[in-house]
This record gives sequence, C-alpha cells and structure tokens, in this order.
Amino acid sequence: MSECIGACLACEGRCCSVYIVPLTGFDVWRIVQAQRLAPELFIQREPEDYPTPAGFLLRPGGPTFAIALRHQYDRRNERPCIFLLQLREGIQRCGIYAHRPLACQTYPMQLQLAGVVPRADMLCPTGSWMGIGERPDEWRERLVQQDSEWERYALVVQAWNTAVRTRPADAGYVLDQYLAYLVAAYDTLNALTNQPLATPLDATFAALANAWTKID
Amino acid sequence: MITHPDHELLWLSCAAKRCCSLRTVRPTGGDIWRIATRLHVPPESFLRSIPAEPDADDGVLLAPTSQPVHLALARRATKGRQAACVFLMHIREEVARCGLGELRPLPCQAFPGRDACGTLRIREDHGCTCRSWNLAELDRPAVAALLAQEAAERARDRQLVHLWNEQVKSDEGSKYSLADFCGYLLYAYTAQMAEATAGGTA
Ligand code: SF4
Ligand code: SF4
Ligand code: SF4
Ligand code: SF4
Ligand code: SF4
Ligand code: SF4
Repeated sequence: MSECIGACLACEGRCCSVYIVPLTGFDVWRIVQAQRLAPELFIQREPEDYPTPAGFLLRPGGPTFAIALRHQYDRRNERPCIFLLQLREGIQRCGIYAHRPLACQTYPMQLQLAGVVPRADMLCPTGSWMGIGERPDEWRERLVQQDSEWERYALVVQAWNTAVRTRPADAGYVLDQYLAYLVAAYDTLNALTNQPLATPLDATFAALANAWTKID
Repeated sequence: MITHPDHELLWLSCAAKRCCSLRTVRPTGGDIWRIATRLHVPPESFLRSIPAEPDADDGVLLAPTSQPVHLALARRATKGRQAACVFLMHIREEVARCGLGELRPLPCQAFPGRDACGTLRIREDHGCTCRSWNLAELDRPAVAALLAQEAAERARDRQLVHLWNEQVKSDEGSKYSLADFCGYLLYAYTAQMAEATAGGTA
C-alpha cells in the first residue's frame, strides 16, 4: 500500500500479500527503532538470482542474498505480509504505516525519463490511481529517496562483504549476525549525520564489519 | 530519529502483549473518529458491540426496548490462537505488536494507568503474568493527561449517546445497526472538529 490519497480504499491490499518486499538497511533500522523488534523476527533472506551491488555474502565465495519482509507465520496459505492487519469485512491495512519500507511507499510507481508512471505490471484495480497526476512531486521525492537509500545500502553491504572475503574459506555467518551488523552500521550513520566526519566513512564501515564478522 | 517515552518503551518491550488479548478495550468516540479518518476505514471494520454494564449511563440503544450496548475493539481469532485485538500484529508465537502506533485508543495509551477519582492508580485487571507494575515506572503527568483527555471525550460521548437514544426511543418501530450508530458518531465528531477548528481561528 502506498500513498494515502484513497486509491487503495476499494482494494483488498493485493500488493501486501503477493510480493516479497525487498528491504534496504535503512528500512530495517527504522522498523527496529519504531517497533522495538529484533530484526530476525520480521526479516527473511532471499538468494539473489544474479549478484547485485546490494547482495550480501554469508561465507567467502558463497552466494549473495537480499533481505525481505517475512510473511505471517500462521497464515501460510495466503502469505500476507507480517505487518498486514486483517480487519472485519475483508478490510486490510498496513500495521506499520508510518514506518513502512520504501518499496511500499513508492508502490506502484516508478521513475522514468518521462517522469513518474505506474508500473506496467501493477496489481491495483483498474482506475485506482486516476488521481496520480495531482501529486507527482511527492512520488518523485520518495522514488529519489529510494534510489539513494539503495546506493547507501550497497556501500554498507560492500563493507561487510569485504570483511567476509578476508575470512578463512570455511568461515560462515548466519543471517542474525549480518542483521546485527546492519543495525549497528545504521546507528553509526545516524549518529554521524549529527556531527562532522572525523574518519572517512569507508573506514568506519570496515571497522564495524570486522567487529561483527569476528563473532563466529 | 524515533524516540519513545520511557514507560512506552517498557510497554513496547513486552513481547507477548497479553493485555491486547485479555482486555476489552472501549475506545472513546474521539479514538474511533481518529482511527477511522486516518486509516480510511469504516468504524464497523474494527468495532464490535458488547452489552453495557447494568449501571452504565452511556449505553447505546439500537432499538427502543433493546439492551443498551457499548462499543469495543473487535477481536480476531485464528486457528490455534486465542482471540486478540484486530489491531494486534502477530509476529511470532508470543511476540506481538500494536498496529496502530500512536493512533491507539486513549485507554491503551494510558495503560496500565487508571483514574481513581482524580488519583492515578495501576489497573488491577492489567493481565500481565510476569511483571508487576508500579507507579514510579509511569510517566505520571503524561498518563494523567491521557486519562483526563479520555474522561473529557467520554463526557462528550455521553451527550451524543443521550441524543441518539432519545431519537431511537421516540419511534417505537425503529431498529438500527452498529454501522448506523457509528455513522452518527463520525458525523457528530466531524462536525465538532470542524467547529473547534473554526472557533480556534476566530
Ligand atoms: S489504504 Fe493506506 S495507502 Fe491506501 S489510501 Fe488508505 S491509507 Fe492510503
Ligand atoms: S509493510 Fe505494510 S505496506 Fe508494506 S507490504 Fe507489509 S503491510 Fe503492506
Ligand atoms: S494493489 Fe494497489 S490499490 Fe491495492 S493496496 Fe496495493 S497499491 Fe493499493
Ligand atoms: S501491559 Fe502487561 S501484558 Fe501488556 S504489554 Fe505490558 S507487560 Fe505485556
Ligand atoms: S489497539 Fe493496540 S494497544 Fe490497544 S488493544 Fe489493540 S493492539 Fe493492543
Ligand atoms: S509475562 Fe507478561 S510482561 Fe512478560 S512477556 Fe509475557 S505478557 Fe509481557
């Protein structure tokens, strides 16, 4: 579910049950802060079909992974998002609306040369987004923020991967360790935004990644 | 940066949220209005009616001679799990979170505080099984302010319910649904909010 302009009113929240929602480190950090939830409770790992700059390793030379929101553990058949609320009368709403991931905030729009346009494969009922022309700037702002968060996330991931690659070939890590690193990295980034940079960012990430990858 | 008051942190860090399964939460008309308008959902999608206590002076009549009712947050049961508030997100067994965040009803926000004739007390029916609460853990001024707001909203609700009940009683054959009453409540609150805003700028 994305923009609160009433477009989703008549929809049963299709996008929240069908997709695997990809997360940046920032999405994770924000949900952890707001909900005081351990990240491994709401995150699952997904093997990447092909390696991307934001794909993380769990062992040197191993496959790369992405992180995504889990589905509800007790409603396996329908696979709704772990945060989707089922109200009465078939109505569904996001239970972390204010802190929902960027992917959810921007759905179903994408940024193209022509500007903000709905995705060709969107699941929304016909006519839902008739009003989109009215607020293109808000969509653009979120889509741009999403792009820059993915870039920042790729840097955080690369610092981790570099540290993992220097480890013995049989050293393996579990998802929880990677997630703990992520939260620590974004805590650091958040603190840095309030002060001038003392050490270069790369060095900061490298130190963090090394600290976490030593826990076996 | 997202910050939480200390007692909210304590509340958030309780994983099981038994209070959200065991308690009957009666939102105020203001709570209902805030949730319905912010989430764009009809009130009947998250409310149920429960019999009002015999001595309550704010029970809602749905027909001239029917038993008065109160509105409470609906519950949802799933296979193998006890019914819990519709807004409770079940993350894993014994781990749950409220899906309303700062929109949650005043009695939930003030929990486990209650007002005892102007004095702040800990509720006796808090339902927690592994921790006991003490007043020192609460942000007392904040909780007292929430309870005062709740009392003010309930006083306004009482007036609205009396008007509604008069109307219902004046027509012997009338019969209304929960959704009808909710519609009336929302209409009245929207009008009052508009008035309050106009009054504030005048
Ligand atoms: S369902 Fe959510 S995104 Fe859709 S209109 Fe309502 S508040 Fe907005
Ligand atoms: S986080 Fe919210 S908006 Fe995103 S998929 Fe889950 S329920 Fe839907
Ligand atoms: S599928 Fe489209 S209309 Fe339906 S909830 Fe998702 S974004 Fe809204
Ligand atoms: S009030 Fe009690 S049951 Fe509710 S969340 Fe807190 S400790 Fe848990
Ligand atoms: S509204 Fe939130 S805090 Fe209140 S009972 Fe429901 S889940 Fe619990
Ligand atoms: S025993 Fe009570 S306080 Fe402890 S986790 Fe369970 S509900 Fe929360």
